[in-house]
Amino acid sequence: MWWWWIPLVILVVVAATVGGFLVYRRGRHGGGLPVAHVDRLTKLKAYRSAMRRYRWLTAAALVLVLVGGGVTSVIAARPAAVDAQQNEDYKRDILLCLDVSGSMVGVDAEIMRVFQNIVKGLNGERIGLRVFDASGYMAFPMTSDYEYIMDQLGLYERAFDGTLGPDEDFDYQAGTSSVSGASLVGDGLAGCANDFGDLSDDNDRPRSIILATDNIVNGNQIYSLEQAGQLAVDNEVRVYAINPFDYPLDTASQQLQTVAEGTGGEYYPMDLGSTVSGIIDNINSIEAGYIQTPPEVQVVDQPGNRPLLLVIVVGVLLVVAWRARI
Amino acid sequence: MGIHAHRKTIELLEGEYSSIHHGRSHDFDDLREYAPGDEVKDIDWKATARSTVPLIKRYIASRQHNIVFIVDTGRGMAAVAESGEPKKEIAIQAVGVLAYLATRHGDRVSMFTGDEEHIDFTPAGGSEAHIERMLRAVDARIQLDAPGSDMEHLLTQVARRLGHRSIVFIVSDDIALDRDMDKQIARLHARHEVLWISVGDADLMARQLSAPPVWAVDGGVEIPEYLRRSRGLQTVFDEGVAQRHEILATRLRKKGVSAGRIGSLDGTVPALFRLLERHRRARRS
Repeated sequence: MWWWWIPLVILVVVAATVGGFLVYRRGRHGGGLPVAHVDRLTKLKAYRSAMRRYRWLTAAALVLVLVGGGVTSVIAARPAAVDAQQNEDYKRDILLCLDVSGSMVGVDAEIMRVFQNIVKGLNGERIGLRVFDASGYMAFPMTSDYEYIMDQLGLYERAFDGTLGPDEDFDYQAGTSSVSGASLVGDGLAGCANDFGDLSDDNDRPRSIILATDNIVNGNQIYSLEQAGQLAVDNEVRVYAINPFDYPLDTASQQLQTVAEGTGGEYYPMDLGSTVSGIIDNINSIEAGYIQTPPEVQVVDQPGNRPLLLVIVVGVLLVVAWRARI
Repeated sequence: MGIHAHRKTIELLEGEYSSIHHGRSHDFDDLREYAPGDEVKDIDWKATARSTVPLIKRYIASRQHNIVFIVDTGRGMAAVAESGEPKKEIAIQAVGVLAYLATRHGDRVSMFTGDEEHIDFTPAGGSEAHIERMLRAVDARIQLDAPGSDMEHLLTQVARRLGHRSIVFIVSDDIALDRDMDKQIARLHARHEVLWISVGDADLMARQLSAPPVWAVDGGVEIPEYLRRSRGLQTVFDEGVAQRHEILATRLRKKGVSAGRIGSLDGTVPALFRLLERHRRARRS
């Protein structure tokens, strides 16, 4: 109960102010001249009507002062609207990591098509593409240059489909067979996991790899798939594996599933019921959960037309005060 | 400059101010028989020797005028005059000049001062010190926190108390004469010779750009600039003031009371001169 004296203080302050004002009014005669027989003026009929006008003007000025004060205090309080926006753009990095061995080309072309559709709706996400067979080749690094991405995706799509134009001299397998072997998934995934440029802690962009492979390894790998998976985990990269040739009891399929899920990602077998676009949608919705975009709260001042009102009030007040010679 | 007396009893002295003696008069009038109670030194021994009964020299009882000032000392007199100078100063100067003139001629001056609460009487005297005391009393009485004026009461009291025939100067301001006051002036004038001096009041309107604010001594309320600068109100005010002066002048003239109005300190002596001159020429009805 410490606050009981607050009304008391307010009362004292108000009383002191009013009292001081009255004393000031009383003592103000220092500047003026005392005159006698004021009834010479006050008994006039014209005086009474003039006095009435004066009172009205004074009252109007008082009202204007109050209104102006009110408007001023409202403006001074800075009326604002809180605008909470959930920004829908997810600033994440996606690396397409495609096995371009002969068996995978059809799926790769499908992924290209799906991603061309996705890219049209992106804003702020970065996409990179690495293809691998025996060795990995970076088709294009992480970029948000969507025009370029579209070009490259289109080019690879046509290359995978074998529908390259006559003036297009492009080999999607270039750089993927610099060592002996085929489908060295461990090396491919390890290369992909190292493709994310900025791995420092303050870069909170979610990282993911879409890995399309059948995990049929043919040759000596430097990285085993598990080691590559561990590299992905170290780099906080989730691996979403798409396997077009899934056999539930196949060790290759099981290994791929274990590694993918070990990184926090998913494993998608391509069976009759699933499509690439469905899988990508699924991946997107999972990834959306990792995006740490807090709702953006904006406090927007909304003075409305009050400043204008204040200007008008002050203007009218000045005119009234001048008229009343207050 | 002198104060002219119209009354027959006083007329004996007309034009003889210079022959006035101080103290007892030595102007011999006639002789009469001694009566018990008469001063022995007044016995005219030579005439008694020629006669069979003691004879007494009879002197003219008095050749001195009683000059009486009735000064309004209410707080209204502490206000400023038409010129902006204090009305008090003008009133004091007017009383001083007249009292000095009177005592120079051997007249005795007395004074009533009063406001609505008390009335003071300064008994007759003829010395400069007496005048000084009188003026100091006026100066001390007239203050901004003094009680208000009540001329009617003051005049009533003076009319009741003033026995000797006198020349009465009423020092007031731009007062509005009402019927009761009118009656009291008539009553005074029936017995005495009354002269009226108005100390002009200040203009309430602000006509110059730099007119200082004014406030009423009664109530202390400041008159708003809005009213003081209103052209329409100024015209009406001027008419009202002119009418007020006219009424006062007409009423006093009708009674035969000479009246003068003093607007400024510098104008005091000329205004008094005009007043006394007018009074001298006036024919007593």
